[in-house]
Amino acid sequence: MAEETISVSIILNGRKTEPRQVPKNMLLLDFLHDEMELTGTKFGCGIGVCRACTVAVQRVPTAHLVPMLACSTPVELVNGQGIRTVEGLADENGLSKLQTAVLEAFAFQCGYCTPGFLMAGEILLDGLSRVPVERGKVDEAVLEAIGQHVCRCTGYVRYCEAMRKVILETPDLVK
Amino acid sequence: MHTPSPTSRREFLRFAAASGIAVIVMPYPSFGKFGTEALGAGASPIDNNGWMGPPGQARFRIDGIPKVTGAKIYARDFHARDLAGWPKKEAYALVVRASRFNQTVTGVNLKILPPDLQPYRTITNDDLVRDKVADLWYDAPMPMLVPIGTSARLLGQPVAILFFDAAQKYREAARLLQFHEDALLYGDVIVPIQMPGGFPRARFLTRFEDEFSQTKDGRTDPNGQKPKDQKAKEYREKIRERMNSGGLKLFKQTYTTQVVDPMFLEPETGLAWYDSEAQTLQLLLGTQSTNGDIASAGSETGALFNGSVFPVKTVQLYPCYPGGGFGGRDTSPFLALLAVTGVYAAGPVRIANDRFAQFQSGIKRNASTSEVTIAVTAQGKFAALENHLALRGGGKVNYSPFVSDLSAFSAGNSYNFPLASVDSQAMSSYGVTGGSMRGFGGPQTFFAVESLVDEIAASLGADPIELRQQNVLHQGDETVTGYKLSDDVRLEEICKLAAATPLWSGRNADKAKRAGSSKLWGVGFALAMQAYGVGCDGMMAAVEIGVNGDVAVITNCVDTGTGSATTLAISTAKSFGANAVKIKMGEVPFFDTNLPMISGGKKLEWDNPLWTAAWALSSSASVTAFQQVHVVEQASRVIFLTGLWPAALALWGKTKADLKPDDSHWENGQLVAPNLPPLPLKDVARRAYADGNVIGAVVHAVYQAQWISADYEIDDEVYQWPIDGLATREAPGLAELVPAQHGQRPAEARRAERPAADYEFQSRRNTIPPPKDSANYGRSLYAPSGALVAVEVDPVTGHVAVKALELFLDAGRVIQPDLLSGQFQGGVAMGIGYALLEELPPELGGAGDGTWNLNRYRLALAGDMPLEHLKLNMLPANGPDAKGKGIAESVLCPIAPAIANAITHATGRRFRDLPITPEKIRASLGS
Repeated sequence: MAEETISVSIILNGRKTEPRQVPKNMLLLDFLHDEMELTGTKFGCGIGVCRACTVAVQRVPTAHLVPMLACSTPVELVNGQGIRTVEGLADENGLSKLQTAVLEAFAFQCGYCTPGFLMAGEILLDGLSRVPVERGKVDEAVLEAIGQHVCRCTGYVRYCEAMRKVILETPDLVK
Repeated sequence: MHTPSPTSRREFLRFAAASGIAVIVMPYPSFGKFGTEALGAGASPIDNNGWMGPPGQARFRIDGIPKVTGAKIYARDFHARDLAGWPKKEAYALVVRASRFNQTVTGVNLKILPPDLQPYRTITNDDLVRDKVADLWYDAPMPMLVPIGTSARLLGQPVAILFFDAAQKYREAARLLQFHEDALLYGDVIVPIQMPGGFPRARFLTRFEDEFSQTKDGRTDPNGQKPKDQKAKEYREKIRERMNSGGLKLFKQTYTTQVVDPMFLEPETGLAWYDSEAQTLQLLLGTQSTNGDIASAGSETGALFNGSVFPVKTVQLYPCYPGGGFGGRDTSPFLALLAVTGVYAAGPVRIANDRFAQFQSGIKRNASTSEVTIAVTAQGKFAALENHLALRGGGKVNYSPFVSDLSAFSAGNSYNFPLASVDSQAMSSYGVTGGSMRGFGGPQTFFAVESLVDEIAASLGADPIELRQQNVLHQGDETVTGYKLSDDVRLEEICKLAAATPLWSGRNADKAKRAGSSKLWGVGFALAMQAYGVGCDGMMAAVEIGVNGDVAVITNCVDTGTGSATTLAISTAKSFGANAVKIKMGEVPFFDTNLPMISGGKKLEWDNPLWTAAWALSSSASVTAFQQVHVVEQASRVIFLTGLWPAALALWGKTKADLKPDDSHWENGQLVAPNLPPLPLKDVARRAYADGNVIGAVVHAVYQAQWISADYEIDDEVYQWPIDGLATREAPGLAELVPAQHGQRPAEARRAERPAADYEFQSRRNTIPPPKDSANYGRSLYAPSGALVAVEVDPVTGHVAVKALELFLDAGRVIQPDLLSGQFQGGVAMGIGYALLEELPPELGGAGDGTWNLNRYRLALAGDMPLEHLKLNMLPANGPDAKGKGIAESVLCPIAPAIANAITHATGRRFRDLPITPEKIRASLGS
């Protein structure tokens, strides 16, 4: 029985990928790893619990970013959509504010969960840029963004501190 | 054939020679100035020197940029296509494992898979036997693959390896097979193969005041026949008599702790490629110990393939940065399985555990049962201890006996017990293999002892911290092994600080204030005297300085996330006034080449300048801050004293008689001495090169109650250094830069004597060996800690929320505060999990059945942390010369017992087994 395939093209970190024939039920994580050779998005549990595989999806241009768990998402579901991964956070000017904050806060240790936290953080920042949060609710917003992410090394404190810092220091995210 | 893994360098060299296998190690990703040298992936374009702060400090982790940019550094990131010289196409291996041990396995049911998903090859034990591949695990007399027609010896034991030629095929097949009840075919129910009761090396400690102890009398077994064993038995009877003589109150309870998974976030993954023509086996995997994996690669492949149809002359190992470890990768069975998979694959092959497979196969923290008795005087003084510990070791011995050892050594925890009887043994079972995990036997013991101490306090009507304070060890007291503490362990200070906090002093008033609320408030305290190191710690490091003053560090250790890469890179600052710009980790052949030392054997050979008691340790046992830092500092100091200092003197026009090294210091990158012009490091380095001075040093050191020291002669001067192995490298000399000066040997002449800039091994003289009885101390290095925890317990749901936590810690000299506090925060999360959340049934229904994942195994999340009141109280270091202490485990150890004690304060109920789940609380409060 011939394997059923589909043609997939996504807008990956701002660039449209060439269409590729891939197995119909290929997961987004496997697509990123095998087809795009981008391994920054990590496999942790494979069942959508640990959030290490979080990527940011932009369903249509200018839409707000939403988190997607690449380990449990068929690539077919995001065909044609914008996907941002950890590899797309830095640009020619250097690291993103959040990458820098996470670095300088010593927020991670082994680093394996870090891409998932970074993407969740970027999604939060994108959301706040559209709908700012009250100052008193910043911590709550951070916990909502990363509260389900699993890290075995750090105890989460410094991830929260790094995100809080970026939110408070970035204009127009807090009202 | 049952072949133990070599435990000493002598054994390894002998084994390697006997097995005839050469092990080549590919570069481990190095961090620093030149970017991440990811295998085949090219250097990062981002300048990593931004990580550096002032000398001795870091702005961020030296390995930080690859981690925030998603660079390839973990084994799971790599495929065959990434590796130079490998065929690009890789196969995928699925390991099918037994989930029952009480039935024979009759086959693998491939009929479940449609024709287009069939594996191209299936390997079972029959293939190993036919091909004369040694079919037994190296560390256990059981087959690597369950022979068809027999039953598994442990849950999760592999039965078959299926090979697929395409990734998607592998994934589809795995999905179909994974939870299928009939994936393996089982036959008759049988009486399971009788497992031996206990693993070898039970530990018995008998201490009778200063008359008898392990330190004084050696290792004993009160069940044995030797004269000292008989003495131990007699003393135990005396201890019993004293305990029962009246006048002492006896408190006896049994406590249990659960099986825990290390849950490092990167499941074990590896690549293997066997080139039958070249007889080379290449293995890529994440490592916690390059020394260990290399030894395993050589010895295990030798044991596996010598005499088989798969001759292996060379193993090429690609060690990768691990995505977490916590001990769980130490002596993992994964390497051997990867090697066997490799030879059968006909090309590169990948094993990538998913999380179910990782739970089913990965090393676990041993569950424990502790039966503890403490005898107390009427005044509340601890008079005697009896502690019987049994640790569940799972199906293979692995490190369980060593875990059991540390449990025994920790059996008295922080207290002075003049009389002690301690037994500890790891027991075999049908469960997944237990072994090394953060704390290594300490957490199990501390939960039991700290719970009982609180029960004693309650019975006596005593304040729990005051009772502890009354009984803690001090400098000069002896532990249960009879080791006399040479340092102040500051436990009393920790007790006083904790008692003085509003959280403790106000706990009863706070509880009363909240009496009307729906939640029960409680505050608890616990101490832990967790050891670091393993009692005889072999360490190595190399430091080199470039002609422009750039410093590089080379080490065999790996950074599992603890921050050791950064810590070691800033440990050069004392000698150079500068951090290292680059650190190369996981390096093994470099040291093998330049330090031709031997170790092991039954005899101590300290008079042999080539002999050392311990060659290397894995990156475990919290050895960064004290042991690893020591060797980097010593290597740096050797270069300073024999390379830079003479150069500085030359630049200043001074001689050794005019000025001593201690007259100088580094300031803003310059060497400063009274009334002399400051010298920039690069100028001093350049002069050192011009003069052909020492510009590289490789050191080996052993700590056993003290650093082994010896004399070394460099350039006609004798130095006594706390190291036991040394090689130095001189710069070739740049005679044209500097004319010979009065009193100086011309660089030309020196160059003629030693034309090549190789490392020269320096002969060791007048070695000062460790104290005679120190091999029996058990442990001699401690990082004491105390945890104060406040909880809210919901009596209806049984849910426990940790609302406040303060840790009191003696870390000695703090090297990089951010790294230390990160370890503390992570230790708190792990401790909360241990106390409240994490549990695996030890055998049936446990991880070995392949159905466990994070939907069932609950880890602490951000919301479980007491984010609003989480405080690390550091005891100030004892003076400017204080050394760092290894704290990665001691920050974890008191957390769970403190939480348990807080729950008791809140509810009035005592919980004697972990985890303390909502179900247990509801059941207790409801009864």
